[in-house]
Amino acid sequence: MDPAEEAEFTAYVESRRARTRRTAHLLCRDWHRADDLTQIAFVKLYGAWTRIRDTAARDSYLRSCLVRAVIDESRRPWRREHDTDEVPDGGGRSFAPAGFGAPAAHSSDHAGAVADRQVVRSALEAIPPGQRVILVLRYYDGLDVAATASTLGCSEGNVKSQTARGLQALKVALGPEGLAAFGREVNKDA
Amino acid sequence: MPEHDGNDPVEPTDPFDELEPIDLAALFGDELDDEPDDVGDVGLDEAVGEPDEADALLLAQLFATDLADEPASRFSVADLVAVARPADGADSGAAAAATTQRSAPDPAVRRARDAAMDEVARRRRRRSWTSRGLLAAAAVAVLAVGATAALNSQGGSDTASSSSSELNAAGAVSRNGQQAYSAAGSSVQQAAPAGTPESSGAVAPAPNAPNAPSSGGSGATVKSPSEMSGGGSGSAPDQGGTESGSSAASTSDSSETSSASGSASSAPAGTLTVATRCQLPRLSGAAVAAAVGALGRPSSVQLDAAVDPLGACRDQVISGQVFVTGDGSRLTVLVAQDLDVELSAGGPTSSSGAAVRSAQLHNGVSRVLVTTPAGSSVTDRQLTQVATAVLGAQR
Repeated sequence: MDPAEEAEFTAYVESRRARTRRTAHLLCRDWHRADDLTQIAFVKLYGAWTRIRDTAARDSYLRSCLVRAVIDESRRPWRREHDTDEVPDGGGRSFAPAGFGAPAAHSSDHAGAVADRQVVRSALEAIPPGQRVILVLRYYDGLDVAATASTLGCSEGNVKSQTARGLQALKVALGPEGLAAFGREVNKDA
Repeated sequence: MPEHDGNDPVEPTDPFDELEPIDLAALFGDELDDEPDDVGDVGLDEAVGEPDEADALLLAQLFATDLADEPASRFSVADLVAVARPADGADSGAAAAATTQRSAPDPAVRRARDAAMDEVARRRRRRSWTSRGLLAAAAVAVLAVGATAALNSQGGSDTASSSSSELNAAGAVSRNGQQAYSAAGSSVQQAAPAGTPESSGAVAPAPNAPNAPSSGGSGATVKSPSEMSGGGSGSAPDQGGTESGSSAASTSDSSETSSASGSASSAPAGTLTVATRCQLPRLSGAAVAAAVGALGRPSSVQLDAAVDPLGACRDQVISGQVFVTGDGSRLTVLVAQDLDVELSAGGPTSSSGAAVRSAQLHNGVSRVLVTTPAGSSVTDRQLTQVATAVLGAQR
């Protein structure tokens, strides 16, 4: 890769990194792993960079690599472990050892946000992996049925049915209270 | 059929074709469908198969909520590009040759490509040996310092105030012809995590080249507590030749500087502070576990769920006052002897008597920086234990 292509690749990474990382997080449910998966996807893209000229195709290729990386990583034995260690104040960005195990004092708004996130995370984790992938690709990445099917290498019919089932599973996992919290009518679809 | 003359243009392969197909059966299980069924149409616009607006809004809200606490990435753009880029020297040579090869795979190009690949392999091999030599050097350095600390302690001249969790160093022992630091005492006898390379976490053989002794340079700089640095590089015989290395060790105080090589250096009691810094290919979870094991007498632990490089050893590091957190680009491992350790937003801080050790994980290359805070006098020996254990487990 010559310097010009390198610069082009760097600019592309800069423009796509955050989005790709968020997609990775939604797929794998772990920010730290999302960093790794993002890196894997960009490394693979680098190898094919000179052969993919079209920007849209690059996005598609990156997305395909990311999805494959998520699936591959999820199969690794150590990924099957269930992580049980949780930092009490969430995210681990800051904590004081003196506060071990004790819930941090939050303002009511912050507590509400944390509670909402917990509900959302529980619901998203309740969705089977395949359905989650499709929901993320379709509702977060904005792919249509055909593009989603192409990314996953499955039929459009499968994408449609899995989308519907994923939505159904999500609403069930959210429950009436969760749906109400997000302004949905409780009995409409769930 | 005419034989290929090596000059025919070869169509480049489609990168998408090179992607391995997704195992859909594994991904979707029994729910893999080819056609939507009645149940599957719930929530879909029957005409176009698109989700309805309300569902789209709900999902957008859910995703936004889930992403609300997005932490900073561990990797910068430069990191990602650097990792993606082939090893030094591979880009201009191998990649260019490979590109050319797709269109004109003539013998000259093949030779250029092969030469480039050989060069890449040679450089990688050199880096590998340099890394091993570096590990060996660092291990020798910490052994030397550890021996000094042990001697000081036995002689009663060490002004360090012993901690209840301080390790009882027995000194240096020989193991398989290599010098290894051994510690005996209840505090370092805890069972090692399963699967951890160094079972005790307290005894780690010095890194060595297989079937050949490595002549590692050693380096350790012993300075006043406020400034710590160290390093070293070594050499080890390669299969095809000998790589060279360098060594350096020095002891410096505010008023004097002396040099030593491969041996323990004395330092004013009470001011001995050691930093062992070594470049490691990757800080493994096992290394962290070994470091924890080496500390001994742990009582509690808190691991940040976001620190996934610890991965499989997460459950193994279940006892120890080890605070592991990720703050963006850095994986920080804090090991404290007592609970009055505080984490500030800007980095680790420690009150008196606490040892703070940080391990930086950056771009696939870890820098293990083991330090003791200024004025701390209880951790010198533990420091050697940790560093040795980390190095041993890292190999």
